Amino acid sequence: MLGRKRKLDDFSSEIEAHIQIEIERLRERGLSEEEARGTARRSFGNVMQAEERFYESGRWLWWDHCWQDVRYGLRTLLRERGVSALCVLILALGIGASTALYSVWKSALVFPYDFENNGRWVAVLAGFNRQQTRSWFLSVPEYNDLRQLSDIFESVSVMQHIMFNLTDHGHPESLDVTAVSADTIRSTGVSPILGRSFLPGEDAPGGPNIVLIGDSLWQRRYQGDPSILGRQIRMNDENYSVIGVMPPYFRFWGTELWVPLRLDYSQANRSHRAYWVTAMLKKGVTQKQADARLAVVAHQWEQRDRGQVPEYANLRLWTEDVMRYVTSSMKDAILVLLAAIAFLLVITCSNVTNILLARVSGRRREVAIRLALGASRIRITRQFLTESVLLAVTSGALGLLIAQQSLPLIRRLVIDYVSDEAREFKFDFSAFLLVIVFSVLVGLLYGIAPAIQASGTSLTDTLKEGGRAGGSSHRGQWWRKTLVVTQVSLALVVVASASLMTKSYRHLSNSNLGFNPAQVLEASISLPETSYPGIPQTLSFSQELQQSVSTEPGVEATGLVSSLPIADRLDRQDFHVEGRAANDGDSAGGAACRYATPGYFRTLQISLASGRLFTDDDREGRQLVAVVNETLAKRFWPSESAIGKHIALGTQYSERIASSSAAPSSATSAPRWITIVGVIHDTRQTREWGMTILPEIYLPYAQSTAPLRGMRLVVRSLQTPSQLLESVRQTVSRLDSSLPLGDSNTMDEVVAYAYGTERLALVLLTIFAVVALVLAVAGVYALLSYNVSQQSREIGIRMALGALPREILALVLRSGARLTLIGVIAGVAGGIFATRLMTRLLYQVSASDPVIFAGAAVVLLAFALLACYIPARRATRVDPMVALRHE
Amino acid sequence: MLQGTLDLLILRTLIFGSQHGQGIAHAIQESSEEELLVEHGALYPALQRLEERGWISAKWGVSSNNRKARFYSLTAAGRKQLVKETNKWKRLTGAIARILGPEGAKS
Repeated sequence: MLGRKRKLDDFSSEIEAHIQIEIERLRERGLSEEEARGTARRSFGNVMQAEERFYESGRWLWWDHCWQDVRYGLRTLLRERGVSALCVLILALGIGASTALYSVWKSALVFPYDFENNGRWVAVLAGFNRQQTRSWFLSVPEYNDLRQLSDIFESVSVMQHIMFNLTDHGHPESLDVTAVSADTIRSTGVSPILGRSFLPGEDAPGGPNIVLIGDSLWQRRYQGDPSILGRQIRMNDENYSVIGVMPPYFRFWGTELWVPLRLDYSQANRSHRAYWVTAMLKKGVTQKQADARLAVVAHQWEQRDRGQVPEYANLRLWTEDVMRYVTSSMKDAILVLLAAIAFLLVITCSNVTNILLARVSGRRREVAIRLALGASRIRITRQFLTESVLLAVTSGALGLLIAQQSLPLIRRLVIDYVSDEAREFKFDFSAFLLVIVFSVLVGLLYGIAPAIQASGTSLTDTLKEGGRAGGSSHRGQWWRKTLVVTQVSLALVVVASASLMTKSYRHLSNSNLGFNPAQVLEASISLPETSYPGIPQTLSFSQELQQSVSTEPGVEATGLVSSLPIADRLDRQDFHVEGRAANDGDSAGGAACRYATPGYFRTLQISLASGRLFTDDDREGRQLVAVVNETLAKRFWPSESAIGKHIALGTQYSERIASSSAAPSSATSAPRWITIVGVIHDTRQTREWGMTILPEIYLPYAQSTAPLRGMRLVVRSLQTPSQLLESVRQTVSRLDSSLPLGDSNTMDEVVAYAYGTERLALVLLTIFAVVALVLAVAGVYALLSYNVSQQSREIGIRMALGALPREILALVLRSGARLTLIGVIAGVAGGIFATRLMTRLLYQVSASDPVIFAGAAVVLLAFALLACYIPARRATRVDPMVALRHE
Repeated sequence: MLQGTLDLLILRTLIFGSQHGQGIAHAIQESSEEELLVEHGALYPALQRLEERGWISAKWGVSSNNRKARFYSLTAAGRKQLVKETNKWKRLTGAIARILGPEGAKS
């Protein structure tokens, strides 16, 4: 459309050429220069007219009108600088906040799990009899059987978590590693950013020692050096060569290292469930079909192996969509945040519409004059829309800036509370596009109401009014009041939601932990095998460490534990209760197993339900003792005391897979019976919210049968965490100068991390609430101050007739208060309905908590009245003489 | 001049090769033995119209007396249009001639 059109310039020069040629021709005939020029011009006729005809024939007109509109719009916007700035600011704030929050939730809650093969990637779960224990873990023979199901699965992979001590150059680190079968990484559809992933067969016994590392580890430990490929890194005293680096968002199951899992396929014990089995559904196979097929498999297993595997009674096998399972806990948070974004946008738009509507009534005279001069109504509408879009685009640009600037800020607010997978907040391109599209849409959307109103201006009425902007139409007023009421009510809903989250979060982080996180610092220490080869060395180090730390000033208690609740992965072990068949349904899921010193319980203030805790006498050579949690005690001895009963531990779940000397199978040796001496109240075990509590077994540190090299030190102290950390660091280096102190956090941080989703939702909602409150109050303020300026004549008359300032104040305040009140009532009614969406996000708080709604209502009323007060004050200072003479 | 006749005359003139606006005006004038006077101001919008319809194309060139001018030439579509218009014109003039009788047939 543009390409084919000629410019007016081109056309003019053609005419000029024509006239020149004509002049030359005439001069050849002997006319003088002047005569020739005159004749040529005459014979051409009116040049201007020709040019005009050309101009109007083209689509240039449309563009020129547009350009005219833009220039005129810019002039108008600049003339009313204050109003325009206010609009741009409000819009930019709305757009910026929404975009930033949209980016945050997208990268924190959605994107990290957005792998290519979503929907086809399933985990296979087993459900055993009686307690309906469900196990995410299966045994090698079971995995082997599942691998045969090529009619429903494209590939079946298996993985296991293990801890590795990374001891190459630099300080040693203990890291979680996922050992995976060779095709696991490929089946997620994510490729390494450097190097390659595992090849088929590399997981075979005797395969190479190779490792894939995550981007964060690569950056942190190896400074992003690309020559890392092929380099040997030392893990658990063996050399592994690095074959690839995975992208930043890929934190597959929370780890930063992946090694091939070498399965011993000859393993025949079907009850030794240590492996996580996932499968890629064949294309076209639904999860339902897969489940039906698995039901048949479960039946076959039960028929065939019931004799050897007692827990197969009523065995169930089924699939879970992995990604859906991971994100399901966040689904509600996502919904709530999306709703909040939508609310914020509505508030923003109605605010700006309001201001523009007010402006329209101020511009009725201008519109009337343009109409009188022959402008079409469409042209007037277009003019107003152009101005709106101009505003929107400016605000969009500013909003983008706000979003970009606030992203690091929000990141800092929430970084500790989001999952490992989501540490990178991207300002992604889709968010950018969204802003552009959104700001133009908003421009058109909020432009339409004022534009239609403006073009509907009645010519004669307005001009007859003599330009008095006073009596703005009832319709317009009604519109604007409705918009203010909407803003107030929506703001109330957002404020109430944020308060609900706050209250819920307080409940959540204070209760149900089973321990007291306040004033506790934890630090991880791992002892290298070279200098601590056996139990005597590790034990004497741990005793010295506790001794030294406990003498530090301000330390109330200190202790050691092999794995810390919430912070660490569960160390699951099979266990066996005396008098019960091994692996009966009750123990099928295994138990969380921890080694702890007596000081550990004191430090975390874990409370005892019955019996006793450990003492220093529970050591090697004495009676083997254990403390269990209530879940375990109630499951096996629902009606009697668990004290004095005997249990035995089976194979460790997290055995080292890479080492050639596999742990001896426990099935052959006689059980090593351990006496239960105490029952503690349940403590929260994992980060996952809503995860059922597993049976838990604590064993004395000093009775461990293997050297405990990885440990967590916990210290309860009155000192500040940083002081404490410094003195612990000094103590450790005094004991062993080559020993580094690993990760350290306060227990409060550990807990906060565990409530990441809730915390994230809380922070984001609070930001929403503040912005919504500001915008709604600004809306009330804008409407009232506009009204006051419009009514200054009326107020002047009232005052001239003897009204007192107090009465004028009351008059203005009343109209503002009435609007706010209607908004608040509507908001409470709507809010009680809307917050039901949050029910599942709330912990021990009712979604219609009356205190919260009352509080939100009071806050809004208070702020709105404050906003009313300023224009009301101004109204009382109206000088009657000035007001009456005005205009 | 009759509406539509100018278009026809322009197309007809261009059948001999490309020509600039001034040349077209003169050609029409000369070949009609100064009977048809083209108002030069009306010529250019007409050229513009024809160009937009794709019947003629234009490009800047240099005239015989070394002046920059925009040269127009007939396109394939324009040729077809010329045949169509000519036929139409002949039918029309024929019809008018029959109505006006022997005297009117001259023009």
